[in-house]
Amino acid sequence: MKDRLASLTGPLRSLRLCGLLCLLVFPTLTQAADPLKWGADAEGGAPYIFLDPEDISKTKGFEVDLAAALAREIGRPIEFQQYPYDGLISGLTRGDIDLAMNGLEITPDRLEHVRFSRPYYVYTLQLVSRADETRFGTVEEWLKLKLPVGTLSETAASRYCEKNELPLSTYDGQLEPFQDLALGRLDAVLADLPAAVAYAKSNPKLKFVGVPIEPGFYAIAMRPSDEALAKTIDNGLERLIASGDLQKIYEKWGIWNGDQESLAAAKSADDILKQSAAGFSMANVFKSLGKAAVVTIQISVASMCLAMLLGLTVAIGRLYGPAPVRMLAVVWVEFFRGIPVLLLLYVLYFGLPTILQTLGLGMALAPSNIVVAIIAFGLNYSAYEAEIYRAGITSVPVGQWEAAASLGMSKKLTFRRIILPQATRMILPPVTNDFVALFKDTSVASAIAVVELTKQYQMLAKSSLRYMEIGLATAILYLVMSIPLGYLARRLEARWGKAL
Amino acid sequence: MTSPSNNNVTLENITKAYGQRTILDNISATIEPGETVAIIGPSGGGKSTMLRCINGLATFDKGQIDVGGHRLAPNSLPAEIHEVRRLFGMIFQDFQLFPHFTALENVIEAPVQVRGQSPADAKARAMELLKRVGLGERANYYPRELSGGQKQRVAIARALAMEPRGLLCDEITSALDPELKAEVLDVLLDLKAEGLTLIMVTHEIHFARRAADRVLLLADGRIAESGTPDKVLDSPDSERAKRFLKTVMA
Repeated sequence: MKDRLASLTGPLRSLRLCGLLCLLVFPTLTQAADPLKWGADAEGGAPYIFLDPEDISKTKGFEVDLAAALAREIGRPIEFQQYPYDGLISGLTRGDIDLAMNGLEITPDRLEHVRFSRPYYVYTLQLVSRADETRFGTVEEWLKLKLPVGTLSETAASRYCEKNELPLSTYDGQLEPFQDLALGRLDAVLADLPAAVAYAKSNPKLKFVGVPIEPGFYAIAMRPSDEALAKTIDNGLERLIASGDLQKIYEKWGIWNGDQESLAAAKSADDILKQSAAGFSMANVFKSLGKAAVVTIQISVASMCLAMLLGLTVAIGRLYGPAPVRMLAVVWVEFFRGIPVLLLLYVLYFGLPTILQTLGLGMALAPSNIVVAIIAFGLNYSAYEAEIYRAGITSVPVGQWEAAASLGMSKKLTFRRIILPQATRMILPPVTNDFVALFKDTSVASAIAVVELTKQYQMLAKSSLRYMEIGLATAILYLVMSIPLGYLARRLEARWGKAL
Repeated sequence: MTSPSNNNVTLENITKAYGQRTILDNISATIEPGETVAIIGPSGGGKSTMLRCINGLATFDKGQIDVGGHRLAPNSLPAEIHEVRRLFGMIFQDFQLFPHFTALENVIEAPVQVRGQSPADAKARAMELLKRVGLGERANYYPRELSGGQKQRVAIARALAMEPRGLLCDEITSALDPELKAEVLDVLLDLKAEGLTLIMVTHEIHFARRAADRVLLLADGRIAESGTPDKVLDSPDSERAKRFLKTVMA
């Protein structure tokens, strides 16, 4: 009995020991059942991955289906994790996610940082215009016209437009560029074919122009150190392509086309990129940043002028107006000081057209994104400038009013000739301060597809992954613009100081 | 009572109160053209307020003020006040030059903006005035680059540029060092000689004696004493005046 027991426990014990050894020596074996973290941006939109309209706790899209098929194929669960599109590559490096599959194009600069799987889709770029467009009927005609075009930010489409020096607005979502196209803010949208199919094909206001251009590949990005995993994924994809399961998924989503035949031949990302050279140079970076800096200057200068004008009006209303005007001025200041400028941007940009259309005014009155940015910042800062003006005006001694009055000057004349000039000199330092702040605040305008300096930096840095070098270049540009401003203000102060 | 000449400054029963405190208590006075009147009295006696009422810078509750055919009353409209201000310039204790203008620009501002003179004419006239107050060389200086006495002389030139019949001077030497006072007072003597009416609130008893045709002693919102400098300063009738003069002369 005792012997039998011993003979039973002996192998049991050694088995347990063996298991423990396995855990220590082959940790990968135990991880095999752990889910892979798949990063994608559900805000990016259809048909890739998007929130199921019927149950927004679930996601839908051809990539969701592909992930499920792939998980079956490799025998390991793949778990979706929401991740911002333009941070996907960094997410891999940081270890937040194991796979990035979200319509990522294989590009030379990305290849420097990630290991791409074999391609899973051949995309092409589709040009979309309004249905009533008559100025162009082909891509070639369109390229010559240099009309305002919208794309998803940091995509092959945006790079194509930049390369061709087209006036470009970039968006974080797939839907918004098509909305703006329909509204007339853009004359064309260049999008990856799947997105164009999802958002434009069924819209009677829009039409496809010409044949798709610039074919490229979507592939799954992984860490270069995860070579074993990459091999597994490659094999899984190969089996899905060979079995026709992938085709079924694409057919379900209406994005299967002849181009996909080449998927079977394209073995690895490296093959694809043999011919394309890296298009990255610091000279090009500075050129792009310079253009964006001009936008930043335009917005900040124009909105500051607007803010000063409105601010002065509000300050005068608050100081000298009749009771209702004073009240209105107080409300104005509290309102525009109290709401985030981002909210203002969204409401003016996306909300206003809806109101205009409801009123039957159409889009003729809907301002462009840069104009909206100028208005939003102008309104926001008018609240601050109004208060600064008010303080400046009241700080002029009352004796100045009396002296002017004793010379027969009217109140209006006194204000214009005597009080306001002195107030302006006094408020110069805080206003300069505000201007520099506004200058930097304008980066928020990227929310409504304005490509200003910070946005351009993000685009360049994220596509080249040279955050440091380009960041430095951008910082230098900001300083080159703001330091002379401070110098100018000090010069003015010194000159005016003599007169105060 | 003699009928008021058109060119007189006549105050009739002027009363003004801030809440419970009576600043001016039923004041009546007449100042004739070309007369130099010094208003003296203890602080808070209503001197400055009386002067400011004549120029419409302060309002009053009762009474009326006639200045050269125009009448100021408690409910006067801005247009009426404006007319009165054309007749009398005002000089302030703390100068109140416009700091963002040069001396010259200070002087031409009102002639150009209010009277509509051409800048060239206004400038020529302003240079004359600045020379007259001894500041021809300083025309392009900003106020902060000038001494107190120079500032006050620019202020006088500025008031004269509007060609007033007279000047209201509100303790115009109080903020000045003794050596700078003289240069300002000399200018006033010049103006008196030219026949301008001067109504000045002052603490300069000696100057009042030398320059004034008449001294008004204002205390507790009333005219305690009125007469020639010698009479008021040396042998006042009222107890209030005696008490005040004793402290000032001491």
